[in-house]
Amino acid sequence: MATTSSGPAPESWREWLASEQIERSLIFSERIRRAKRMQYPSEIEPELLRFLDSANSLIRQQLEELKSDPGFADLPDREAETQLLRFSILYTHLCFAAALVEGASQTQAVAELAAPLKRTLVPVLGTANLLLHPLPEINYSFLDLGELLNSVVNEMGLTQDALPRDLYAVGFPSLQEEWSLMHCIIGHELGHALYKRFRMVDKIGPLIRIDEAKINDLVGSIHRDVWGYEADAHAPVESQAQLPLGSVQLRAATYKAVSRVLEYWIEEICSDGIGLHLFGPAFLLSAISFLANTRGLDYCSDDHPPARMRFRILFSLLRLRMPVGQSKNGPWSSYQPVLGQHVAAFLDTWESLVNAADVGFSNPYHAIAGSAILAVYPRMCARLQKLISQSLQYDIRQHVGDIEHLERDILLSIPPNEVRGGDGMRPAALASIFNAGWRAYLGGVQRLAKENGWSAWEAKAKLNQWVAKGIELAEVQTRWGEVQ
Amino acid sequence: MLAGRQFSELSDLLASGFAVDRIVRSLARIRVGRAVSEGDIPMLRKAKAVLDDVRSGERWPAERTLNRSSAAAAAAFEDAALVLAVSSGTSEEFDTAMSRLDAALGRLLEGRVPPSQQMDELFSFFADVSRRRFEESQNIVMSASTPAWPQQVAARRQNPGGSG
Repeated sequence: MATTSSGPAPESWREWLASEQIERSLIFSERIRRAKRMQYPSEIEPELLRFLDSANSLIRQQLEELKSDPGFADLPDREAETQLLRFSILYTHLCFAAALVEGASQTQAVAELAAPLKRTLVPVLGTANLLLHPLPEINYSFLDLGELLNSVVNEMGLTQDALPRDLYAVGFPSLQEEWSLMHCIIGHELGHALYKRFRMVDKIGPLIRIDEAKINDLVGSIHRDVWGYEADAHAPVESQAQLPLGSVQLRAATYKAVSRVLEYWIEEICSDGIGLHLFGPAFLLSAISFLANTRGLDYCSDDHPPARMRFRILFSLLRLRMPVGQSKNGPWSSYQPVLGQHVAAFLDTWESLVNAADVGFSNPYHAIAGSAILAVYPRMCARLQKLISQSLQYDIRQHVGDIEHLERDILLSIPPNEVRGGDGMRPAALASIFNAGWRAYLGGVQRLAKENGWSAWEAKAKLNQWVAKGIELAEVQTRWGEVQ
Repeated sequence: MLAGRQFSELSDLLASGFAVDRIVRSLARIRVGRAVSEGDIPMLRKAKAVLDDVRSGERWPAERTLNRSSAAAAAAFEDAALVLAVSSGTSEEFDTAMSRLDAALGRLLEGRVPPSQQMDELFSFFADVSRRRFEESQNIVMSASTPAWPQQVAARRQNPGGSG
C-alpha cells in the first residue's frame, strides 16, 4: 500500500480505507432511499430494496468492527488491502442489483408479461417472483437473484432476513420490447429457474461421459507443441523464465475450462428443452428468430453452445413423440396439429439449414465438451422429456382448438385473449396466445397487410401489439375470475 | 453492464472470497501466537472443505461424469495449482504441497498449532487464494460497466403522472 505526502499516515491507512468504504455505504444508503420513493409494478421490487438497505447497514457495522478485529490487525498489509478492496467489488455488485430494481418493468408491453409468466411458474415451483428488466444489448438474461444475494450475505456472516429463494431477474432487449412474439424466448430463461430448482444437473450430468484420455491428450499436446517439453516434467531450465507454469497448472486450467463449458452448456440445452415444453413450437420459432438473427448458427462461447447444436436438440425434442404426420425431413411428432401448415413448412426449412453442416466448435475445450454432449444427446433428450413432463402439467398439444380459434381472432384484428370452453368464454393460456400469434405471423401477415393497406412491417408490428393486448386482457380476465 | 453469467460468477467469487477472508483472519490470529479459539473452528472446517474441493477437482475427469460440484471443484483445483505454482510444477510436487497443507490444518483442527513454517505455508496458501478471488472478481468488474439508468426514467418513476 503506497502512501503519499498528502495521503494517510502509513500506520493509519487501513483505518482510512475502511472509513472510505463506510462512506461508500452511506452513499449507497442514500441511493436506496431515493429508489424507495419510486413506484413499482409489484411488491418484490420494494422487498429487494429493503433487503439491500438492511444488508448495507450490516456491512457498515462489519466494517466498523473490522477496525478493532485483532485478526484484521494481525494481517500483513497485502492481505489487509485485499480484504478492504473486496468491499469495493461488493458495492459494484449491490449497485447492479439496485439498478435492476430501478429499471424493472419500466414499460407497459413487457410489464404485462410478468404476471402470466409468473402464473406459468407457480404451479411447478409453488411460488415465484419475477423481476423483468430492460437490457441495453439485444439479448435475454436470467439471474437467480435471491439465491445469489443470499449466498454473498451468508458467507459474509451477516444475519438478516433472507430474500425469497424464488426471486428471479429476467432481462429482455429494450430495443425490441414491443416485439411480443420474440419474448417466447423467456421460456428458456424460466427454464434456468426450473433447471436449478430441480437440480437437473445431477439427473442429466451422469449421462455425460468425460473422455479423460482426450483431456490428457490435449494437455500433453499443449506441452509438446506450445511449450516444447513433455507433460509432468520440469520445464527445461532455459525455458523456465518464459514458462512459469508447470504441468499441474496446465492440467488444472484445462479441467476448469472443460467442466465450466460442460456445466453451462448442459444448463442452456436443458433450459431450451423446458422452454419448448412451456411454450411449444412458438418457443423454437422465437429461438430461431432471435439466435439466427443475433449470433448466427455457429457462434459459441464458454457459456453458450452453438445455435446449430441447440436447434438440432430442439428439433429432436419436437420429433420425439409418436409421429402423426409426415414432413420432408421425416415424421413430425404429435406437435403437427399445433404447428399448422405454414409453421411446419418454416420449421422444415430451418431444420434443413441446421442439418446442412456439422456442428463445429471454436476451441478444443468446446470440442471436448460439445462432443461429450452430442454423444449422448438422444438419451439426454429422452431423460429431459421425462423430467419435464413429470414437472409441468400444461401440454400445448391438448390445446390445438384454442390455438386455431385465437389465430382466427388475430387475423380478424381481434386481440387473442379468450377461447370458448365449458359454458362460455374463458381466458386463453399464455402458450396458446404465443402459438396462435406465431401461426398468424408466419401465415397471415401478407393477408393482413393487403386487407388493411399496410406494409409488411406495419402488419407485423400490429400483430405483435394485438398479441401483447391479448396477453394483458387474458390476465385481467383470469384475475377477475379469481375474485368472483 | 454485467451479463447474467458475469453477475453469477461475481456473486460466487464474492461469497467464496469473503468466506476465505474469514479463514485468513483466523489463521492470522493463530499465526502471531494467539490460541485456537472456539470461534476459529468453523473457519478451520471451511478451510478443510476448500482443500477437499481441490482434491476433488484434481480427480474430476477420472470420475468421468458431471455433477453440481464438478465445475466448482475444478475451479478450486486451478486456484490451488496457480497459488502453489512456485513450489509445484509437477503432479508429485503438487501432491506433496497439498499433503503438507492438509497436515497443518489437521493439527489446527485438533487444537494444536503446527510448526511456524507449516503455519506460514497454510496462511500464505489461503491469503493467495483470497487475493486470486479478488483479482478474478476485479477482472469481471473491469470487463463490464454497471448500468446507470437515464435520469428521465428516475424522474418518471417519482412523478408518474407528469411529463417526465
